[in-house]
Amino acid sequence: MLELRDITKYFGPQRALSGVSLTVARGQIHGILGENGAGKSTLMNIVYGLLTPDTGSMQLDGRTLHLRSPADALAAGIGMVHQHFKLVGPLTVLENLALSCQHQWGWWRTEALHQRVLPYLQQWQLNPHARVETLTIGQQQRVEIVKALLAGGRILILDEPTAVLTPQEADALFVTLRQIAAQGTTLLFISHKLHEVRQLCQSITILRRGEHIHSGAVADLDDAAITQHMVGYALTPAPRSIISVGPPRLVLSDLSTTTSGTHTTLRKVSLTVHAGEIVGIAGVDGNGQRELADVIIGMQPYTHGTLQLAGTEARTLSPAQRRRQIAFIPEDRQRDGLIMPLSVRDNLSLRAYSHPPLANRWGWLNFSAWETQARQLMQTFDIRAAGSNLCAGSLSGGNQQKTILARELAGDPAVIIACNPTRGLDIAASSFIFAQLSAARARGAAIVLIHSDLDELQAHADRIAVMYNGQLLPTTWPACSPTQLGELMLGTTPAEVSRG
Amino acid sequence: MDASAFITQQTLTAAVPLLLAGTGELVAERTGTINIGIEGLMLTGCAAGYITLALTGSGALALGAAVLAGVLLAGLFALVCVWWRADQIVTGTALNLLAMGLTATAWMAVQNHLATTASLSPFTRLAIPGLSELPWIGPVLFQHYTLTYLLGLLLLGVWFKLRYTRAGLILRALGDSPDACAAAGVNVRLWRTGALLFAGACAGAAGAYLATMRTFSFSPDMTGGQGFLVLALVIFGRWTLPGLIAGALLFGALDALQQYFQGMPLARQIPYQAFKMLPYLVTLLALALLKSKRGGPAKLGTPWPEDRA
Amino acid sequence: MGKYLQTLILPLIVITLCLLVVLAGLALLGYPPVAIVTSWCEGAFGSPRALAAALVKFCPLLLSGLAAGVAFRCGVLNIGVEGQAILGSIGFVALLTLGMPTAPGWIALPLGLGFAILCGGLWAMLAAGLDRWRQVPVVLSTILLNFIALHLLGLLLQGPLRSPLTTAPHSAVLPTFQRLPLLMTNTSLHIGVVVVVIIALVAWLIQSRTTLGFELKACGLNPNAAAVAGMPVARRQVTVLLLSGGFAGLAGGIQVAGVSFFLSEAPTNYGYAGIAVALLGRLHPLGILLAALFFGVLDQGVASLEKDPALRIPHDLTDIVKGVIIMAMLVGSAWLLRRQLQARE
Repeated sequence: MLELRDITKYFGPQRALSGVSLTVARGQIHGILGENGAGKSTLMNIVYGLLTPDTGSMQLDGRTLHLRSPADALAAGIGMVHQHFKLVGPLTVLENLALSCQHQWGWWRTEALHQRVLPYLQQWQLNPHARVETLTIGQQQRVEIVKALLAGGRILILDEPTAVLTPQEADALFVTLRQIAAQGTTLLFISHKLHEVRQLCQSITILRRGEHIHSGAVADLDDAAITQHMVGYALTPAPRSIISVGPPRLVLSDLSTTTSGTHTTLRKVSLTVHAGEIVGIAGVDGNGQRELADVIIGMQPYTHGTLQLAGTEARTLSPAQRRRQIAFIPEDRQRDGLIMPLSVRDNLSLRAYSHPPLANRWGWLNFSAWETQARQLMQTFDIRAAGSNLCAGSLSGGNQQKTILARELAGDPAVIIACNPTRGLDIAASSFIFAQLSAARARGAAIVLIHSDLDELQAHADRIAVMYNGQLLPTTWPACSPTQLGELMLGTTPAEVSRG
Repeated sequence: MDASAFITQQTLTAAVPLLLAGTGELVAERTGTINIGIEGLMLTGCAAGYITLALTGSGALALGAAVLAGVLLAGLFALVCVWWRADQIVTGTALNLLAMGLTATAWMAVQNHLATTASLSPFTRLAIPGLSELPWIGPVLFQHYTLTYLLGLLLLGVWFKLRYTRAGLILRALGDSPDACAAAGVNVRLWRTGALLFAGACAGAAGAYLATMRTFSFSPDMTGGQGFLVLALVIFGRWTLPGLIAGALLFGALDALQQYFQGMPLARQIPYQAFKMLPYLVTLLALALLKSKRGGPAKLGTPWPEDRA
Repeated sequence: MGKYLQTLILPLIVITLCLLVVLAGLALLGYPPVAIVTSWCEGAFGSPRALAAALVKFCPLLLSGLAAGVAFRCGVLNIGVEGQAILGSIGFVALLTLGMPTAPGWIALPLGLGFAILCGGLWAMLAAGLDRWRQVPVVLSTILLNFIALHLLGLLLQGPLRSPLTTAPHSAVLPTFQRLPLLMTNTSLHIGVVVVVIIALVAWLIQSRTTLGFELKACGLNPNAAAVAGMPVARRQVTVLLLSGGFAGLAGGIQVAGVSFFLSEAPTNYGYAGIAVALLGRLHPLGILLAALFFGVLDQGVASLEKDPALRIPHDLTDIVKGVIIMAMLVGSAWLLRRQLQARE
């Protein structure tokens, strides 16, 4: 039995957790629910020893635990499957497992290691000598799980494990998790998705803004009540407006790229996006979504096929010219979307800095125009910052995303490509982002929404296509079910579902 | 000694400092830190070794002083780059400048105290009994300084350790995914510091070899770019020990051939600067021609933990 | 105002601390600190001649600092300023002594210096090309090219560039009409000083107020985001290497045209120092100007200090000071940046 009492954690002046307590019985599957930023990961990092709480205590089976590092947690039998896998790519499966589970110095490849590990490898069909970087995401996750179980299997923490899985893979995972729980391991399952938690967990704890809101059996609450606890107010879904679709703005015909390095090759991708529609692109990460976005905005060249922007063949346009017509919201906002040390004002000008009104014909910058634009955009898009001079790195995730959105949507672009625009954002920020995209759609923009969260995709897209292995497969959605979408995402579908 | 034996022996002689310093740098780079300052570290080893030897006459003290000097400077580098997370490349350049200044200053300061009689290095070649009598192989392979034999053991030891022990596993993993190591309970910074200190010791020893064994002299530009050659060799060898050995032997051979040809009458037509340029040109060409299929450790040069706002 | 103050404070603290540390070290070794400081001050600003000498040293340091600064700011680690400067001086001397030995100054100097810029730029382009087409890291290639340049110089001085009047390895001495005009008689203060200050001001203008400057800043801070925003990152990095090499080449050319008047194998002391100048100046042209001034004054003071028979100061003192300053600046900048990023609202 695991007991957490009164856990508080500050990051500098920011309070991440405040007086959180919870109790979980042995062999139970306990869900930790809350929106992004509620403190779920922080709490679990404390249980795993990656962080130490400022106050509070932790007891496992009656014994108080003082965890100073993950080594202590592993020794106590606590394992964690992280959202971003902690695996070493070039090393083999066996080496990764040894790194985590084997603590004696000297030879690492011992008979004892083999004995411990082999049953798990066989159960999950993992090749011990394969380099981790060659495995699929699903296989890598299995390695992560084995790694966590090898810790001793008293507690297993899973941090948003289904974020990278198709619906079918998630179901398979749940079957495995139930088996593990049946053998006596206590499971802590972090998620922000209600239906998963309902499917898998017996009891839940809900966190909001670092505070403990509720703990209890899952069956006691209905969805509305859970959402209310998570968000703090009743959430009414925004009605979707019906819009008549306009002329095609972005047309891809049989677009293909050449194979190079670790990039996924695009194979004869065809897509037509009309003004006023949102085309959703579903798929497991790594099937070519990134490459598709890169090809459209000009970061990667294409060798066959055509890409037409409002009639003109894009091959003749430079990346800078293409970006003037296409707005792009990248998936990794800190690496690709913003320049952290630069001010908010400078980041807001990143797209249009080279032409009027921000600069004149000879390249001379007009900073007062930059200021005006910054102030205007910050107000329209509700970017909370003390001033436009603040450096972008000090904004919260939601405000950073809003900055990118403001910059890209200013000037009413004809085409918008959005990749996982709500990754890591709380519900308020998420709804704002989608509201802005809807407004753009109503103004006649052609939007491509590449998203890994099938639920959000279904809530906001007009049509859905599935990206699998570099090919874009059209679907009959909403005529087909999410399960069938999942099959396409896994590549295990009969062809009839994808046609017609 | 005929030409081929001479060339082979010279190859080994030239390769020793490259291999010594290279092994240390290889380990450090596998853990994710790149030290441009090897040149400075080697130079410091040269100065410390030579000065200690000239002042005390004790070979062991000289070697110890050189190693210590290397460790201290590497420790400074580790402090600035691993613990305070400054940019590794520029810090390495600063380290070079610092070392050049410090050694030149020390050299000047010590001039007056040096006994002019200490002109013979106490280090002598150790001939392995029996084996060194063998024709051709004997003088070439088995009449080297003790340090050279130790180097051989070091190479074997490091290779073995990297491949087969847990410590080696951790060292290999640190450069590609320090996050994974941290999640496994490894103290990333401590390990990286340790690797850097090892690299410092190796570079210092390499410097001592140059100043007290290969020759017994010191000049402020003694290392002549060998530190940078070591960096290139690590890349050239794809961050593996066998690759490093192959590269070092190749360059040692070039150096030996160059020396051999300089003695020939034909060579007097060619100005000596052309020969001096050769190692750098060849290094550049080698780097250019070898397209890396497998790059270095993924997180080479990136401080840990990474800043995520 | 506060932002500029913050930018200035770090270098000031670093300089003060470093000088204190060096003085303390010298005191420990037995050199009297007070005497050192007074002798240094006299040597550095004691007379107009001393100041003139300091400015002469400041000139190549500014160019070298601009060379390193413009490169580092764009994320390009050009450690090859030393070699590019050598190529610049070679180019200048080659054109003048071999091509136009009797041409009047007003033709020879601009052409010669222009050619110096070209040579320095092309030498840097070698590194750029190797990086672009063969993925050879710029850091390594520029360092290796430094050594190659050094030996190339020696080679040429034995052969085509050697003065016919001597067997020593140096070039013919420039006739007086082909030297840079002086600003102050009886000193070596030449017009090049004014030229480089103008160049620094122009660089500042371009960097802070033009689209090119903005792009270079963005590419240096985050090349991924810059590329996604449509900026031609790779092309800008090549441009920057060209500029950087050009600055370095000009430094080499000016040194021959204004100070030494002939080419020899004497080592330059402004090559690697440019990196220290650039870091101390926070990679900003005006800051680099101030930092170069500081180092020029420092060098001049130390040079006269070394000639002082009363104290016997070790050589290469400035190398140590520079090394310590770079280290301290690095740590300080890293700390400041981390504080900036961690500041949450």
